[in-house]
Amino acid sequence: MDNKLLLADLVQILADKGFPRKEAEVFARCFFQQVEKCAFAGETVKINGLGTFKLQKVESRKSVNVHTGEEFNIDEHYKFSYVPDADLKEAVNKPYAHFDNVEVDETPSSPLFSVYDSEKASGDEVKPAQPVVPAPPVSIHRDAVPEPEEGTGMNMSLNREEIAAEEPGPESSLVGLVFKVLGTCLLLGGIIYMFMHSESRKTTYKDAPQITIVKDSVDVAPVTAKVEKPAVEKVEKPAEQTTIQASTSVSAATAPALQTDNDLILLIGSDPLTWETATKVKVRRGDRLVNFSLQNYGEKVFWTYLYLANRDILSNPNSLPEGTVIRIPKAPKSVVNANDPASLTKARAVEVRLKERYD
Amino acid sequence: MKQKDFIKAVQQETGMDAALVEQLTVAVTDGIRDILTNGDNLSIQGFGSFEVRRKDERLSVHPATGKRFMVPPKIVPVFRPGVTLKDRIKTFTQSEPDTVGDSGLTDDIETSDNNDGQ
Repeated sequence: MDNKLLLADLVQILADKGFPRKEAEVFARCFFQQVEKCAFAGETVKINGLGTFKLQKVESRKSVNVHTGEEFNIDEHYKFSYVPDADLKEAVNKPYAHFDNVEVDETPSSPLFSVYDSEKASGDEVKPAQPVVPAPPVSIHRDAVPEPEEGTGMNMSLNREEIAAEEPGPESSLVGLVFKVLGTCLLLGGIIYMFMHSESRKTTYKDAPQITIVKDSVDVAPVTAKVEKPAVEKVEKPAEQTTIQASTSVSAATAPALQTDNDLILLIGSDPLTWETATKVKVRRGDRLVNFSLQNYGEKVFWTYLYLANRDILSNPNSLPEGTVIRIPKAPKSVVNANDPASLTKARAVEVRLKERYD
Repeated sequence: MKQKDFIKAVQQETGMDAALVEQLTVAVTDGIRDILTNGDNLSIQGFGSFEVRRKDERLSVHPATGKRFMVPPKIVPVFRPGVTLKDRIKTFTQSEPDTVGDSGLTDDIETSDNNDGQ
């Protein structure tokens, strides 16, 4: 890694491949000279497996001196452009080849704008209370608005005091004011963003600790019942549902040995651990489950099934120790089918659950 | 200019056998690929150097749909022209009839890599 090789090393490589050293050296020199010569002759030199060299004209453009702010002209000039061949690019990027573009759904600008007017801000501020105790906050959210608003209200009034203090100053204070408002907005936005983030995490978990909270909240519910009856009816139903869910998952969890991934097995409908082994592969350096999945099932998403099929050997889907022998099962067509959108979405759901658990 | 024409040009220059030149061309590209995939750099005196750069992941927005994407980190091969080549490009620029002579303020010749990774 990070060695700086010279022409002599390249010649050595050629000699190792069985070419006569003298000719290899003459050739290597001539090779790059020729690339340069052809490029200066105005030609595009394309060498398979390496890339394209070209002398490219750059139109004159205006630029600014970063130190003095002075504007100056960059004259028209030429540059030596090199575009690597797709094969070379792929070979070089191999260690990172398993990465994919990932869509990001959060829009960072929206919490900032919602904070901008105080009403929305208080509404947003209430939300974070919901995930901790799923049932009662519904009523809190509607009735007890003044209470939770205190937090933001304090903030806002503080803000106003600052504004009032600043007021005497003429125009310059206006600029400061704008900065302060923006600053507090950003801060609030950040806090809310963090809250929302933690909320989304908490709600998606359906593990044991949360179930106890749900049960507690059923006891709490009658207290809020005095405030608003219809809300409580709504409240109790989801609580029951979750307790039912809890009981089923608990009964399922007690059955086989590997408990943690059982909900995934339920989701898939069959246990990859029981699938018939098609081949066994020894893990080499740089190998990923994703790559094995792509090779064997035609899609990357099915890597989760590979993990589940080997979860007796692998402790964690994120680590695939070199030298481990993993088995590639023969997957039922109904579950693993790269052309079936339903099986793809199911695999993605499993992937999301797994990532939540181990990331 | 395709590989065929290039091989012909090199063959005329060196006077070597056409088949040997072709084999050597393939060997050189393979050699460069191996060097780069190992994470090493190859610098050729008077020409320039082939290097690998790591690009960090970044957020990008699909211009048509407005969706945000996290573009993963990647390793890319780059070529940096050497001093001799740069000088030659500069004199080439100045010798062009349609360009305006002195270019004291011009910056260095840009290569294909604008945003450096770490």
